[in-house]
Formats: sequence, structure tokens, C-alpha cells
Amino acid sequence: MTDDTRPPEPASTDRSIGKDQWVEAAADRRVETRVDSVRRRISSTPVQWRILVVGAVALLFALVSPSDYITRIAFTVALYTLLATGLNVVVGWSGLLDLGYAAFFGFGAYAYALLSSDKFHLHWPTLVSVPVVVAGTAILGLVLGLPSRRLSGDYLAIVTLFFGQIFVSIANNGDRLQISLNGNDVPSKPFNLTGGPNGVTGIDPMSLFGYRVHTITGYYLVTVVTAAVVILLFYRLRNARSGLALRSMREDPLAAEILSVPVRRLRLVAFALGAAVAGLAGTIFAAVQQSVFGSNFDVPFLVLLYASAILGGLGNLGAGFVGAFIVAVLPEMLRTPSTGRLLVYGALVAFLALRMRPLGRLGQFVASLIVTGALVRAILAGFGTDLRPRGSGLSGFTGALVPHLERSVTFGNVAFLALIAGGLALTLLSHEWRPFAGGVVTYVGMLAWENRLADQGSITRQLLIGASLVAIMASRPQGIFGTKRVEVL
Amino acid sequence: MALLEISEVSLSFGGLQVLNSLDMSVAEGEILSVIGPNGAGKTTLFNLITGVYKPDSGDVRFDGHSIIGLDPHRINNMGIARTFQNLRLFLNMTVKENVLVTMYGRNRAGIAAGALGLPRARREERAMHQRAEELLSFFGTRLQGYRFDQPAYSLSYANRRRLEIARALATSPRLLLVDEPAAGMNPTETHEITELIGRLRTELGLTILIIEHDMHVVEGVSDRVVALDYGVKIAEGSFSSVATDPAVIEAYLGKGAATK
Repeated sequence: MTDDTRPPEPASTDRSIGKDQWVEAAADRRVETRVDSVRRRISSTPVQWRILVVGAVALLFALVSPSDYITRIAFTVALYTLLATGLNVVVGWSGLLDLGYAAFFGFGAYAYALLSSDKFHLHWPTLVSVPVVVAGTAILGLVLGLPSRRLSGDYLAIVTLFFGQIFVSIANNGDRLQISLNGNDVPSKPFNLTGGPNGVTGIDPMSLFGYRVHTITGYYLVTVVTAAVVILLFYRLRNARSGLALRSMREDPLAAEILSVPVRRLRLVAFALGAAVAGLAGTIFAAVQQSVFGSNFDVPFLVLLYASAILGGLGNLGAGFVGAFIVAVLPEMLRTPSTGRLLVYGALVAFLALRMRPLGRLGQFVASLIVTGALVRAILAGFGTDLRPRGSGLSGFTGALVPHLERSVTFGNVAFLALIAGGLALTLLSHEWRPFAGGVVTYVGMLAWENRLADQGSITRQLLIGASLVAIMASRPQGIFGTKRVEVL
Repeated sequence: MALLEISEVSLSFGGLQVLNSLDMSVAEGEILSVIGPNGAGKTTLFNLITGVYKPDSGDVRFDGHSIIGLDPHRINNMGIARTFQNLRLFLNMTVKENVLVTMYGRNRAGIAAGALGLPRARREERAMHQRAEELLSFFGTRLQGYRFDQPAYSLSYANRRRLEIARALATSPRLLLVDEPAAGMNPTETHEITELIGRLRTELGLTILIIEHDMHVVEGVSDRVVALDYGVKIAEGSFSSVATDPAVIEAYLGKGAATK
């Protein structure tokens, strides 16, 4: 018998037992804004088309690129995109925290370097050496994946990080390998495998289908095509049988295992897939640099890769491009103080315009900024400091607002410390006081910027990159194009 | 011959004896309920059958083959699926994906075929999608239409329980272990679950082993009932005979409750 509350049974063609009005009326409940409709239209275009469009635009960029320097940055973006894609499969899909990933990249680079260079006078053709290297890296991935049969989470991370460090160590010290088969024997003549700290140099450029790739533009095109193909393949895989199974392992490995997914085997497969992509990227890297060094593949590089995968949104393959773009382009843009200044003030204005609501709060902020400015200038004038603005353009404008002092180093240092203290204090204040304190802190920040930071390109760059990463992750913890995840509910 | 035979199975965690020389069997086509107070060893029994735990002694045979020591996914491939008492859905995957995932063991297409989209893989995927929609239609329109592509975490509690069942069915089992399907459900939903379990047997020909605390459900669905207490089987038989068994009443209500 059925319940009275349930609607009558549908016609015989429909084999459902219960109707859910809430679900039936879903379309009527949906309120669509303009942004939503654009978003829906984008997400309803097949992924393949979106990838092809982005790829085509990226290829065309090579034509309009003004200089090799710019093309080189674009190449880095493409390479990081490729690497982030592989990382996404291991970490984003399968939930395996693989901190040895940079070593796979390094292994690919070294393997290509040894097979196609003057080092051992092996000059394997590209179309032979690359597949061999990729297969070799995948096998190495399988081997390194073995601990994942027993370990997961933090423990796996420790083991893989250790492997990554061993790789760097071997690369840096592999120039005098001595093998003694019998413990009492005199060791064999030192054998130089990796070139040690001097690395391997004189690596062959790639040559594909009779074309010898010898410009950065050429490598850029090769990398864009490779990345697009890899992303397309993985997108196909994502919704195929194996891709679904890989993704279920991040969600609940035990439930997956009990319901027919061979988790331990697929973990190895995930490692191998990620490693193969990293190895492939490594061959391109080695060919571009025409040299490889162990230090290229150390922890800082690993952090960059994770940053690009996480910034884009872990688990979203194409988004790796966005993360890679930020990680590769931001440092270059901040290289010159004037663009740095433009970015900093642009970000400040954008933040105020978008986030300072209601307008009263913005008013409080501006008032507090002006009062602080007037006070600081009055105090400095009291000491008889020269407050005339220097520079022109944007720097002249900001110079008029914020004094640039003669003894800028000490003053700037003090302002910088005050900025840090102020920033920390800001987090402790209640909502209504933040605009006022924000004005003061911002002015102090401008003082620090104009007097000290703007002139210290290299250090400021790191600070700003760190700050922007923190800002991005704070506003979108799931990554720019990531989807919100629920861990336990 | 019984589909599932558990003989002399014992399991202890450290000093705690969880299952003590347990004997039971489930016949093909039967719906057998396992009842017992909290901590009686019911869920442990499920974990043991699905290969999460290995018994200290004794044997578990499915369709005549011992399944002790096999990996859980192998046991599943032989035809045993289960749902979880405290819901272990793949929360960040969509409703349909949850069902598609567990068809892994019943399909063949490998990584390369999937990535390249070879005809073989495409055919298989089409069949998988069709079957997933069929399975989800078991629950009326609740898991239909736009819900296919919603993440599982957006479902209500009752719908999550339903999805758990659909996901277990997707492995095409012969024996389905259902762990407290009615927990946290309202009376209407509980009633529907009872009906559904009956349909699973008649329409899909499943043998069902069910853990349940709601005695209305147990009464409504079971051919036979087994009562456990402290890992020991204390009663077995029809619902009415087990429900009136003094040992069972004592286990639930305490010593002397049966005689008063």
C-alpha cells in the first residue's frame, strides 16, 4: 500500500514510484542573473571546444608576442600548465599528496639530457627519446607509488618528499659514483652520471618531423600543443570508468574499495600518470634550457607547482592554466618598480571599490587616510624635512601624497615594521573600527612602499607574491576556478 | 545450498571479543534481518563479510567459495555489495557519478581507451549511464533530472540513504548488505524503504541481509531474523518467535524483563 501523502502514480510509461514536487519545479525556482547566464552559457559549451579556443588563442599569441622575453614567460605559463595538469591527477583527483612530483619532472629532464646530448654521445632522435623517457618516468612513478599501498595522507607526503630530496641529492653528487661489487674490493673508477653541480649541458634541441626546434617560440608552440592534448585526454578520462574511480579515491577510499574499486592498484596508476606528465614536461624543459642542474628541481619549484594547481582550483584540469599564469607572470610583472607600483595601487583601489561597502565605510577609510597623511606630514615638517614630491606620472602623484625622504632606508624600515604590526592589529579589531584603522595602516603601507619597498625589487617581489597568494586564497579558498568541497557533513 | 555461509567465525579486537563462534547462513532469495542491541557486533559482521576485517578463526563462504583474505573489491566482484550505517557517499561527486563509480568492477575499458574515447569505451560508458539512470529511477523522481548533476552533499539525509542503496546496486550484486536503511528516516520514508527492500528482491532477484533497529521494518521485510548479543547468536527464526524469545527481551531490556 502507498502513503496518502504521496501523489498518484504516474502513467505506466514512467516507472517511478514517487514524485518529488520540489525536483519537478526546480526550473521555476531558479533565479538567473546576467552573470549566471554568462556562466551557464560558458559551462554549457563542451569542454573540448573551450580547450581548443584557449589553445588557439595561446598559439596565436606567438605571432603577436613583442619579444622573446615575453614569449619565454608565455612558455613558462604553458609548461606550468602542463605540470599542474599532471599534479591535478595525483592530488586533485586521487587525493595522494605527492611531494616527490618535482623529482619526476627532474627525472624526465635528466633522462632526456643523458639520452640526447654530448654527455654520453648518445643523440637519440626526439621522437624516440621522449616516449622512452615518459615510459621510464611512469615506471619510476609506479615504484615510488608502492608506499602508497600502505601509507596515505601525511605519511605518504613525508615519504614522497624524502624521495624528492634524494633525487636532488643524487643529481648534485652523481658525478663520482663508485660501485664496489665486493665489499673488500677497491672501488671502481669514479663514474660521472649526472655531472654533479655542473649538471648536464649541451643537450640536443628537439627535432620533430624533420623540423629542428631552435627558438623559444618553437618550444612555446610545442608546449601549448602538448598541454592542450594532455588536458583534452584527461578531460575525456575524467568521466570515463577509470577517471571516476580515481576521483572516488579522494572522497572515500574505503567505500570505493568495498564497492569494487581496486584502490591500491589505482593509486599506483595515479602516481604513474602524474609522473608520466611530469616526465614529458621535463624533456621539454631540458631541451629549452639545453642544460639541467639538480637545483632546478628542488623544493621551491615543487611549491610553485602546487601553488599553480591550488590557485587554479585543485581537481579542475583547465584551471591549472590560471594558476600557472599567476605564478609565472606575477613575478615578472613585479620585476620593474613602476609596474609593481601600478599593481599595488590598482589592487588597493579595486579592493576599496569592490569590498568597502556601504559607502559610509569607504568615507571613513578615506577620511582616516587623509587625517593620517596630514598628521605625518605635519610631524615631518616639524622636524624640518623636505616634503617636495619627486618623480612624475603615477610616482609623482603618489609622491605628492606620501613623502619620499632623504634618509629613506631607516624611515622605510620603521614604516615597514609599523605596517606589519598594523596589519596584525587590524585582524584583531572589530568590524566598525576597521575602516579607520585600515586608513592608517594603508598610509603606513604607502610610506613603506615609497621609501623602501619600491626600490628593493627582488625582495618586494617575493613579499607581494606572497601577499597576493594569501589574498587570493583568503577570498577563494577552493582556488579561482575550483568548486567548493565539503569534507564531512 | 545457502548463498552465504558463516561458520564458527570469531573476531576480537585486542581483548574485546566482538564475534564469538558465530554460525549463520543466508539462503538464495532470502531476506534475513540481523538485530541486536548497540555493540552486539552487527556492523562488525558486515565488515567481516565485505573483507574489511579478517576473522581470527572460522570461515565465510559465498556461493561455495571461501572469501576470507580476499581484497574487498574482489569480494564485491563476486557479488556482495553493501551500504554504510553512517553514510559514506562520495560527497563531492555528482549523484550520477556516485552510481557510475561503483560499476568499475563490472566494466572493462582501461585508462587509454577511456582517455582516447575509443568506440569500445564509449559504448560501455553509454550503457553505464543508461543503467545509472535506471537505478536512480528506482526512487521515483527524487534522484532524477537536474539532481543527476548535483553534488551528493546537496542531498537531504533521506536521499543520501537512497543514493547509498542505488550505489550498492550499481555493482550488480547477488547479495546486498543493508546497514540500518531506516535510521533517521521519518515514518513515511521508513515505510517506503520497507517497500523498496521488497521490490529489490522481486524485481532484481537479490538476496538481502539487513541490519535494522526499527522493528516495524524488520517485521515487514524479513523472512527470518537472527538476534546477536555480545557477538553471540542468541536467537534465530521467524520475526514473531525471535521477538518473543526471552533471551532477546533480556538482551534489550535487561535481566528479568522477560518474566515480569
